[in-house]
Amino acid sequence: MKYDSIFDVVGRIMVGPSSSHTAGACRIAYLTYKIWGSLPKKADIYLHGSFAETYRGHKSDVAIIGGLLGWKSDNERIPFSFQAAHEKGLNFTFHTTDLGPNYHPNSIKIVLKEEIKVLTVIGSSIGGGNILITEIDGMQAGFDGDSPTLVEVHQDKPGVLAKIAAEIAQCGLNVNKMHLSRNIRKKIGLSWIEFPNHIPDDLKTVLEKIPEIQQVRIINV
Amino acid sequence: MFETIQKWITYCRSSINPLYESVIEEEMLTNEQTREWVLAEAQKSLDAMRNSLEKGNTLDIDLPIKEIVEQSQLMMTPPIFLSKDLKEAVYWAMSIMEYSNGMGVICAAPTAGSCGVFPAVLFKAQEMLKKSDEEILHAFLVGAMAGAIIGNNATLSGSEGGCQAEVGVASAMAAASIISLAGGTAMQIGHAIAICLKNVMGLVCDPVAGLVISPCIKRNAMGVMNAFLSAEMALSGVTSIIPVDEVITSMMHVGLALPVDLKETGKGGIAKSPTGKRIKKQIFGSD
Repeated sequence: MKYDSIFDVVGRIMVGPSSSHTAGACRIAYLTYKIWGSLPKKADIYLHGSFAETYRGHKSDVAIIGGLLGWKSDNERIPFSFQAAHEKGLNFTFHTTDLGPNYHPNSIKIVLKEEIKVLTVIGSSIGGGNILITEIDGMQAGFDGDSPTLVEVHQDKPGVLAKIAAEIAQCGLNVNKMHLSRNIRKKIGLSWIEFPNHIPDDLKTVLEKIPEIQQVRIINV
Repeated sequence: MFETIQKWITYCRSSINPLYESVIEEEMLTNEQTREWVLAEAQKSLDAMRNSLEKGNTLDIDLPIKEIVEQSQLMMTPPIFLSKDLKEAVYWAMSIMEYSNGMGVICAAPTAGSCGVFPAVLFKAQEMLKKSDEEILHAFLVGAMAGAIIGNNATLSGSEGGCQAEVGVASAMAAASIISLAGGTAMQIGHAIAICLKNVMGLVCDPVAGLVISPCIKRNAMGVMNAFLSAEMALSGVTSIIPVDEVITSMMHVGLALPVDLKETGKGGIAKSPTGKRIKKQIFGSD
């Protein structure tokens, strides 16, 4: 069954006009903002496929900037995001691009920069406002941001996941889904863990104390 | 979640409780939540719908296709053929769609491209039948359940099934909810859903320039009339010869049989007309 609950059908409150090209675009940018962890200063946004062709008509650009300012897809300020970005000091540039045939036809690449810090996120809008974050800094990902998600990057050594799992158990949390991707060349691993309920900040604090862990991000949607 | 409309109807007929109670019970089970949570979640969506209706008329909207700016306003003139109420309901559906095009916040029901139908019909029926906000919330639950069951047995996506899956389903949801509001039976809801979907069987999704404007705004207007018509027919005792679940399956088959050009790609139907192509070129600078 595609829809377990009536709220999968009538629970999606969002800015128009298009659930995939407006609300979905905003959600990809919002999750990118959450992964970055603060208000970005400089953003380059690359629009691929159908986004490249129709972004102006669907106001995908306005929605993306709203998301990068940390606004969810039902925020009434979204139509005024360009002005708010100007006031808050977010510089942004839109580019149309072709990411290649391996990417979903509705994909966006967002590159955030501040001094030496760089973050690259690729997300796809797969219909009805549903999205997938498919890549973070070149590492494969695959979460939809529908439930609270923990994303962490660690040195690719045996036993790291066990340490993470132990801390999650210590916090008394249940896990919905757990995934891992590895970059063998760079010797780093990325995992994303989806939870049924709110993730406490304490979990981030304890995970950051594990020596192999380089970065922890909590996305409480 | 009820597997089919018939199973839902059978359950409702075996129960002494009102129709909406079956929806509350199911949602409490599915979401592992309390009755209060279910009602509060539904109220959030209903509030967003009410908000989109109220703001739909007040916002200065900058639409990409200039020719259709605020065509909804024209529906505020005195009626010639329709009743005053029905004409106003059509106006509401169109203005919610225009509001959505101006990046207003709407509640997808079942999609953003069909977001005008359900609220316009539901809130107009509330006015006509002088019902309380609590009764509207209950009617909303009934319409939502109808939408979810149809979605599970067919599709709610224009790219999979064409406009019948969006505006068609929206009108079926609206018809289901106002029948429960008017005190109709579960059987009548089944017939109204069947009539609604049969009326638009095969309706294509052919958005000009791929935008959610033309023909989408006027299709929402049609959806309002389809909902009121089907509800009126079912409440008068008119029945569907083809059982509702068979209609839903047929709708899916028709949707699958539709060529891709007629399913939200903006490549067929009126999108492919000379004017449709000219408008696309004006907006995006390419065909």
